[in-house]
Amino acid sequence: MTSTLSRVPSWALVLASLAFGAIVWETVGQLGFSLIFPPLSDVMSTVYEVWTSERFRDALTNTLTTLAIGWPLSVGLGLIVGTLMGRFKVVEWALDIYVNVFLSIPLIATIPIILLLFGLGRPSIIVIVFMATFFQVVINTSSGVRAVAAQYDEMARSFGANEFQRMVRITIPGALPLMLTGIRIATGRCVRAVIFAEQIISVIGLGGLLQSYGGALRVEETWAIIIAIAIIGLTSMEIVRYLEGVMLRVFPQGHQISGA
Amino acid sequence: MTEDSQKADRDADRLAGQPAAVGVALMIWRQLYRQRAMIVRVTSFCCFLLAWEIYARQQSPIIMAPFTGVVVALVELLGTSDFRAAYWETIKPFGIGLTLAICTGVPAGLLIGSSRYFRSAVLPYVNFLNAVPMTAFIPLVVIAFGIGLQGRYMVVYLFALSELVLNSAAGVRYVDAQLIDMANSFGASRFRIFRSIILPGSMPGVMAGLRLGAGRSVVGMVAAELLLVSVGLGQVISRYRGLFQTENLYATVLVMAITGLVVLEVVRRIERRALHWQRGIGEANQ
Amino acid sequence: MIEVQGVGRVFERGGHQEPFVALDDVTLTIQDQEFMSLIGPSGCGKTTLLRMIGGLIKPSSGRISIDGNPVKGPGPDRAIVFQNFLLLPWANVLSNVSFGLEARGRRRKEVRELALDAIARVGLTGFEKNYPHELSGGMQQRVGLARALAVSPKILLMDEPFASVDAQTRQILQEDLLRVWRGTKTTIVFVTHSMEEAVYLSDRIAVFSRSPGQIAEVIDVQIPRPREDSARKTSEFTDLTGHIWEQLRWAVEEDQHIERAAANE
Repeated sequence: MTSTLSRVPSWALVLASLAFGAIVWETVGQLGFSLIFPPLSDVMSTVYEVWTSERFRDALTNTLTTLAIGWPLSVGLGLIVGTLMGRFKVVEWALDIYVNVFLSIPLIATIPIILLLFGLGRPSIIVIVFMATFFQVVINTSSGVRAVAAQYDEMARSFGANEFQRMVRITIPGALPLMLTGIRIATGRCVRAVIFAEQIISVIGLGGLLQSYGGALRVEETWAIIIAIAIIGLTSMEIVRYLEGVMLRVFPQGHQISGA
Repeated sequence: MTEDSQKADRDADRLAGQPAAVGVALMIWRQLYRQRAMIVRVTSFCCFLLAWEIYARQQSPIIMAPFTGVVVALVELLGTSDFRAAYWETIKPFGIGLTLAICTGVPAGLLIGSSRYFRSAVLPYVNFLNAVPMTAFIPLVVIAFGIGLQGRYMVVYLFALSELVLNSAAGVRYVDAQLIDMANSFGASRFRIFRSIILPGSMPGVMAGLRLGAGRSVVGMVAAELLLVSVGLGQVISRYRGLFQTENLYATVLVMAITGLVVLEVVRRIERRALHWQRGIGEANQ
Repeated sequence: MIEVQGVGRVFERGGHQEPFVALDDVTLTIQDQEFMSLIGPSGCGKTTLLRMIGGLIKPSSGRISIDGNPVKGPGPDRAIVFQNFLLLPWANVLSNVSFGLEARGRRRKEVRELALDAIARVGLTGFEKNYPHELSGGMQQRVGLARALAVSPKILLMDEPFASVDAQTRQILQEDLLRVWRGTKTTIVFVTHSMEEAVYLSDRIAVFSRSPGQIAEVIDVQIPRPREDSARKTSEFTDLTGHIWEQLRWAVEEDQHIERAAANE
């Protein structure tokens, strides 16, 4: 490699690569090499059409509503249960098999049963979202809380701190990094779960639109939905990452507790 | 643990002068106390099974099957050649897709980790793939490859790929740069450095990618079954749903779940063997 | 014979910081088969000089030559023993010791024989199949030493090799090093922070000063060989260590001065 090339900054290379990719896509599309890669320009114009359509707006609202219900529910309960598990051994022993099993099995395999139990509508989707998100938050939170307890238990006891004080001053701030990591991972799983559940049930939300356009071989429209989903996914991750940053500034962690 | 047994021993000693029956009871108590974690776990699980059994019997048999019924159905199904054929049709795309993902993803990841140019060129696409739920691409995969074997293994492939690539790339960066220094001091060629240092040194990352990729493959396999209903377990499930054979339905789901667990355990064992040299050096893989 | 003539080394630092002068106009001659120690405070450039002799870095000015030939890179006549051992964690002892030989392109049968011989010389026979994580720090460094000895280097470069082990192990390793060295005709260049270590091991000691890195003095160690543990208690020994300490003391005090000033800001 010549030395001139090594002085090109990474961001420029990334941009060049993306530009190159766009050109390839456009060319492949114009030449009709692949059914699933129509010209990029067509995709882009369809994106505008689709995103401004009423059908899309309805679906988007639907998906976002499900997220708005499912995410806080799962994360909130996950934080509580995770903290209890990390703090009280009995709770850990009672619940850890379920947590480990639910994180090790392909959760989507349980979808047929859930559809049977809760019907083909939003309640099922929320249950699916809950399963995807809740256990992830629980395991990271319990891990973090356990690590903090191990470190600071003796110190807290020696000063006679009561449970409430310990929770507020030590446990929660100390377990924060792992809690937030868990929330971040869980958010990714949450978005994925909503979309997939909607695809299975097929008539609701953005997932339903995907199946509908896909089934009708409307490739440009399908790409439009994929891009919309990608934006939702990336935005939610960025929001969580931002919150992580804010939280860690409010509760600085001088010494990282290792784990996860 | 020794603290607990000391406590139990002290209690026992306090009553040491008592008749033999009490002594035996004490010994049993000591054992139980030491195993209390396991006892709580087993009790919790049994309660769950009991609750399932009781609740299911009270509900309509169309939506809930009792635990005992499911187990019986499971054993029966595994004996049927139809079911086994469907299972094989489900496992095939899993195996092909995962193998393809390993063969393309690991070298690509190693390349990305070693070369700044390659990383800048390819990484944005991999990150995009990682950000979008893979299931969103399934309709496109179906259009391009159909719902047969090829479509289904392509789904598995896409699911597994990003984990293998990203973790292999991370594995390269995990290699201690000073080791390369040391190799240079002995005049080692670039090839030898790659073969003796970078390759084995990246193994922790590659193994993590394998573990995560295998997990994603299982998810992809199930997703393909549920969305590309053709010849595997997915089609079996819709048949049972249509015929209201709920116990068989539950049993099939259980089969898929157990497959996932088994795959994960196998991969974990492989990982442990391959990384046997790691104990004490570097962080634990989790 | 290693000739270091007017060698300087400057490291660029990012941003608008002044470049760091690690070494400035260092001249030194190291005779064949002699044990030369380089000692000095942190940042005086002794490790940099060692790496330049090893061919891992190039001098910014001046030249280094070995037996008249300028040093252009690592070569089969030199081998390095590193402070952090730098063993391959995934390879067993035999494999690690063989690494240098293989890298230098020796044939398979030769490699095995030479490796086993080196392992025996450092007293690790029986541990060939063990992995680094199963060995203590002292044993790991013996593996590092065996790896370097296996390639039969004319010059052995040792970069604070015993700094990462505990004090007792360190003494034993020093004695073992002298014993192993006795059987060979190798020149040793040894970087260390420890005055006792330098005096115990060396024929000559180059004392470095800092800012910029230069040689303040080259001391002759007249203590007769072979040097047993008792040599550490002779008056010549304490005189020499005291003398070196005087040289180095100002550097340590200057460090504390700077730290105090920075803390008060």
